[in-house]
Amino acid sequence: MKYVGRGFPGMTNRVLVSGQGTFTADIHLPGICAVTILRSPYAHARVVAVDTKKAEAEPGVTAPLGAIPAAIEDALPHLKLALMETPLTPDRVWRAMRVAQATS
Amino acid sequence: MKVPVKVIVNKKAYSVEVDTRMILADMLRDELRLTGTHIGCGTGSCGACTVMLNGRTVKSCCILAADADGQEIATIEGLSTGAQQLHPIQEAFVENQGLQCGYCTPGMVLSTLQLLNDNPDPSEDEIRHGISGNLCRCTGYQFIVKSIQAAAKSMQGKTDTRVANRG
Repeated sequence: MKYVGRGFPGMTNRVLVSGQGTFTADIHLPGICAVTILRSPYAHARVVAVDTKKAEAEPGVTAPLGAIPAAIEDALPHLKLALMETPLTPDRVWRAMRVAQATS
Repeated sequence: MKVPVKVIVNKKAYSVEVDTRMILADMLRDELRLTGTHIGCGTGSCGACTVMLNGRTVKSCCILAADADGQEIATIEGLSTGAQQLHPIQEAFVENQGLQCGYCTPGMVLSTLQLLNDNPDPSEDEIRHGISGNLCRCTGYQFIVKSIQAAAKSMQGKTDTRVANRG
C-alpha cells in the first residue's frame, strides 16, 4: 500500500503557486469580447425597456443587449429555441423552451 | 479619456495608454497580460488581486492604473522564474498543500511575503492576522497557516531581497 492513506502534494501546485495557472478569465482569444451584466435593482420586476444609447456610445462597445439572445440561441441549438422577445427574462427563455418542446 | 502610464513591473519597464477609469488589476491582466494577479470581488474584500506597490502589498482592484504611473510593482510572476524555480514561500505552499484551486494563492503568497518581511517569526495569531485580507474558499486556512509556518522556518528570518522592499 504505497498510496492509500498517505497525502501527496497536488499535481498542479507548482503551476498555481507561481501564477502560471490558466483560469477561464485568463484565456485571451483574438476578437474576444467581454460581457457585463446590468441587473435590475428590483426583485421579480418586469423589465419594460432598457435604454442602451449611452452604452452604445462608449468606445469599444460591440453589442449592447441585441447579441445576447443570439448568443444564447447559438449556445443551445439542441433546444431549438425560436427567436425570443427582448429584453430577455428567465420567463421568456423558459416559455421559448416550453414552446420548442411542445412543437418538436 | 486615455492617459499614458509608465510602470516598472517585476523589474521590467512598461509604457501603456489606459482609460482613466481602469483599475490596476485590469491593467496588469489585460494590458500587460500578467494573469497571475486574479480578480475575485473587485471591491477590496478578497485579496486575490494583491500585488506589491513600492514594496508594500496593495489590493490592485482598489487602485487606479493611472495612479500607478511612475511606481514600481511586483506581481506573483516576479517572485519566481517559473514553476520549477520557486521562492521558499511558494515551495512551502506546494509542500504543505496550502492551496486547492489556486485562485487566492498569488495573493496569499504575496501577503505572506509582506508578513515575513515585517515579522520573520510570526505566531499563529500573527499569521492569521497577516492573511486576514485574503479570503480562501477551499482550504479552511489550516494548511495555509501551516505553509506560512514552514516558509518562516525555511527562510530563517532572512528578509527577501528578490522583491523591492522600501517599506
